[in-house]
Amino acid sequence: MAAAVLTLTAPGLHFVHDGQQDGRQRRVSMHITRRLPENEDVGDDRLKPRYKTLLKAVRGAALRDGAWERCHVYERLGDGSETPCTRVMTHLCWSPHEGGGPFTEIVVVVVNYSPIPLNVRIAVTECGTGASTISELLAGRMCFLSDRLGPRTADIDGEALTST
Amino acid sequence: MAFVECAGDEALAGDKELLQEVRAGVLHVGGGPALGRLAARALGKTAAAQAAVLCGALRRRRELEAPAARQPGRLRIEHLGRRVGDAAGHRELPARNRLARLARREAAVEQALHRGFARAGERVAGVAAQRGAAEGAHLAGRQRPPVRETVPPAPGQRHARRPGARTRRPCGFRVGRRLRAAGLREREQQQQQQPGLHAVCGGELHRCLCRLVLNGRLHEHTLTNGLGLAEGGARSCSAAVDSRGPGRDGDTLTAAGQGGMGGKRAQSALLVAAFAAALLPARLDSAAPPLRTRQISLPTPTLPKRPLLMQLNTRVLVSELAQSLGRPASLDDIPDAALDDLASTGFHIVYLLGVWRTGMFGLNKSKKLLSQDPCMAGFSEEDVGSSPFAITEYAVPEDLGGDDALGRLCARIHSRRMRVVVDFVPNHVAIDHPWVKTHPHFLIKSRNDEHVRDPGSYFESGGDAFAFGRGLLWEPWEDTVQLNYGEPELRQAMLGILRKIAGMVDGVRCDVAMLVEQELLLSTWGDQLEPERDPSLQDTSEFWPAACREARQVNPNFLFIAESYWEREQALMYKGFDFCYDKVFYDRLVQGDGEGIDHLLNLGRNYQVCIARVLRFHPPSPYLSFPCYAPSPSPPPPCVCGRTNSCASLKITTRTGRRRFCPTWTSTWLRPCSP
Repeated sequence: MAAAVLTLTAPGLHFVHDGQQDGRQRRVSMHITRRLPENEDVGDDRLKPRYKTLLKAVRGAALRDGAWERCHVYERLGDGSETPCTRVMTHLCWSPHEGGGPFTEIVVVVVNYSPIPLNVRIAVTECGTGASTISELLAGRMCFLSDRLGPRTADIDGEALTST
Repeated sequence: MAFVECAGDEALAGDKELLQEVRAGVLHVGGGPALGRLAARALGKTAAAQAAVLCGALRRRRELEAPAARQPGRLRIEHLGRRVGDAAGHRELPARNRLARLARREAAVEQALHRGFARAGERVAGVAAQRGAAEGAHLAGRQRPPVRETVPPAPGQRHARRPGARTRRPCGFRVGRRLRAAGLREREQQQQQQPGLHAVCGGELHRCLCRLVLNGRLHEHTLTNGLGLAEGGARSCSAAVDSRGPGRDGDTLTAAGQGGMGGKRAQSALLVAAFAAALLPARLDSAAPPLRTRQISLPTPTLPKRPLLMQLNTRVLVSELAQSLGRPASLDDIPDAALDDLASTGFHIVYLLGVWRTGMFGLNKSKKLLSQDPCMAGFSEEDVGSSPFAITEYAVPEDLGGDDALGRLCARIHSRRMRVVVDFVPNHVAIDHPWVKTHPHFLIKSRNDEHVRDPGSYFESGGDAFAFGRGLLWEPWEDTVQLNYGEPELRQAMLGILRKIAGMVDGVRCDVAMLVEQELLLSTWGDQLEPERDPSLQDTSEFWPAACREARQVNPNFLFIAESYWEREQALMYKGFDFCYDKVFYDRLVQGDGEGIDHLLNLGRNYQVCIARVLRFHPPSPYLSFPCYAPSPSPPPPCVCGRTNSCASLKITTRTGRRRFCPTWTSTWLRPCSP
């Protein structure tokens, strides 16, 4: 799924092969006009609902048409210090109304592409340029945070986000 | 945009509350023409507002004046759409539907609807004709459909209007009670021959189909959202608006307004666009019965920066449909529900893999692979098909329904605001392609006994030895024959194919696109590219810029997607491709190389936006690492049916007797094979 999140949120054309979203595993040979029945082909039943959630999550103006930028990620070490981390891919998309609109959508994509859990800090507020930096977008606003791949939601003061 | 309804005779003048709503831009009112004009003034006479006024004529204002409906922001047309789309079965609508309740007074309502449609068509025609001055009026008159004027008796109406009686405003439209099949056909034929935008908005408000005839090509689109129409407003020269109310027992009410526009093409088109836009934003009502009317045409919507593409293996899909239906299936059998699913999931492009005709040679070749390819394990000979990349003709085979079926499928996909992409295989054609016999000079032939030294790469036909299709570093594809891009006539033929495809769909996915780049052609084929008849005729220009130019002359929004390897993406982008596969990105995903991916994502933005992010590749060569199973990042899966890249390098260096070049651009993973 981590690979799917990356392919469906990176810049460019997002290519989905029929069956991929159902969790089908076996590649359909170009010399065959059939594929295995779904129950024989799907190895992991959890993939289908996850893909469904993911495809739903990557809809919307911010991810499709908004600005796109990489974020810096810092790994928190045991002694409290931080070091830049390249094993976690993070990028940020925000909707085209940045600044002006009444409602700004910011999508933060975080993918840990390493086999171990990592404790990282994502420098969201360093993103953006000129007058439309993320910190300016967040300043003085209430933010509604929601996990697009899960049920968690939260209301947070934008100032609190920028200060931490 | 506000949507104004103006069927009745009441004036807005005395209603300050409504006027305020108009000014606030949240108005969705019923009323008469006077109201409409007033509303248009209030809204600043934008084209959209005017058109909305013109065509919103649906119901008497009083019938809509239930208190709830006057809340700002409420879309009355939405209800109307439901009503109109459900003329026959309105009694079944839930009681909470205010319109259903109103519809119990069906006679009056029906009549109002019909009148509204008639007036809409009439007014659009009238305005178009005015703006187009004499020329427009002339065209409008000439294009009148050969339909008799009558008004159908609405259900419950006691007497029908006498046939032949004039409609209230005979301004470029006719109303017909029974639009006979012959008349309909004639009209459709007329439309297909007449360049311009033809809009037919029918019994269902929420869905309109457009038909655009440009350069002798017919584009058909169904709209479920009017916004797209405005985007393409600048195109057409004549407008025909044809509204059909829902009838019963085959009765169709038609009000057609037609106007030709001379110098004011854009306005005319915009007007029609806005007309449909005004009708369309009504929300889709799943309970509405299928439409009887169709047509309206519009250009495809603008793609977002990061579009989502679904690749459908057409032949797998159709064979599964045939299995479930218990009869042979074609493209027409692909259910609307499946397309609706794609649209609602958010896909922008549908790539139909394998729609073109293939031959028996490819089929037999595939049968031979049955026992060798682990991805084919468990299937029988009945399940085997030719490779879709061994094409004998760029036409849809009869068993899939022919080119017409593809056209119909495209129309259905377009109606859901998605684009259609199909295959284009520039490097080779099937061995049983007619060119092997009719145009042998289109193909790469053996020179200087090359076929004797390397018999595995050539086959003989008619006394000549032709090369199998091949990539520089790959084994030959033995069901294909290599095209000779040094031959100018071949290039013209390929451009002709692209023009044909550009007239049918919205884009091509070009198989192994980098193989016909000049640099690679020269590396792979050298002097075999020289035309036999006269070596000086050899075309040494790049193919892709010309190909993109040609196709986009036919279809300006035509998409080029390149399947590319060997890090040729950037070069292909410069040659006109919209998107290119990125095998390196894929490899790093499969290998679980987080840092490598991080590096790739930090590359230049202009490069990034043209990358097609693919999680599954089709193997052009068994010597590339294509697992049979979908990759999972950690740990990488065992390579089931292929070998590794280093195997490919080894193959090249150890093979004797074949001239192979490793070009200077080879990237790191190709370097081991350098001599």
